[in-house]
Amino acid sequence: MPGLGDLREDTKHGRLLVRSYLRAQLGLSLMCLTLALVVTASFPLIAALDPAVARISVAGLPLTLLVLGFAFYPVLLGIGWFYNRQARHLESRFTDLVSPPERPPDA
Amino acid sequence: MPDASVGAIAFVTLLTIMVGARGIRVARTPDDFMVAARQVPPALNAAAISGEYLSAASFLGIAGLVVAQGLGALWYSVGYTAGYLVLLLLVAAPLRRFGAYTIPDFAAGRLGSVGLRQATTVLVLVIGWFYLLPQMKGLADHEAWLVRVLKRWNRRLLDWALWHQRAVFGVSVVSSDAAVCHAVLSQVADAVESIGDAVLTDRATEIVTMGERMYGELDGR
Repeated sequence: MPGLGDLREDTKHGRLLVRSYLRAQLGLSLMCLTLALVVTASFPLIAALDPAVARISVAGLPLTLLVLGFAFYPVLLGIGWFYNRQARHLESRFTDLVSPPERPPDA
Repeated sequence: MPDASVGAIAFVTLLTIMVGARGIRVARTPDDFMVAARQVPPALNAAAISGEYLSAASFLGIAGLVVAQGLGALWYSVGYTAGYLVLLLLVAAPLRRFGAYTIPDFAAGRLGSVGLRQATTVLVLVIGWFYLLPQMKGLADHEAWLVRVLKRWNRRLLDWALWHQRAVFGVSVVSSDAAVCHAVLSQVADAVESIGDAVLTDRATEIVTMGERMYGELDGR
């Protein structure tokens, strides 16, 4: 079982572990980035396909104001929150993998 | 001659150095510097960053743009916010995992070079100084001492570049796209014009003519 020793001594297993961890983190970053891009690009795309969308008004306020002024922010915040949670999850999984929890003293 | 603004800058700098000198007794490691030895909770730190973010540009600038150009101008603020997300995904999180707090730290740690750390620090300072230039111009304070110094540097840089034409052409030739070359040349001409120096203007005219001829051939190739 490869572990912390492999990381310290920079063995082949250690390097493989670190690389797979870094790839997982990069993949997560790129996934969240793509998600943010799709979300932000969707509104102008929809408005370009159907110009009537830009003229819609909800409760007297133009839809453009509601989307650009309010709707985007919770979504972007949510993506940041999701990213943070997943990155921490990957981090703790990596830590558990390289240093398995100590056996309880009474076992 | 330096004026009152320089006195104010000197005062703030001195104060910062004094606080730093006091703090050095308490803070021993880089971790102690990070959000005040992690004594500042995330929400409070986020509030501080928001305070910085809600500047004149976002209050007056965005409101003015919406009046002038319509609701589409709100894209600017969406862009700023999305920029923070990109910063988190591609810069902040990898830096934190690496254990570095600043870009110079990261450059030095990743590539093991103290020279690189110093070069990065100098770059950050230079960018900061030139960031001040339009801000002060915006304040109609364009004859302030600092602005005059920056303009003098700019003039020297242009002076040097104009007599080393490869420096001017090199920037644009890399792309070997005539449109980019024209853009670079017109920027050089604009920059020289703003300085208003007869010798430099003559030289710039020569360079631009030479460049246009060169790129014309490039275009026809």
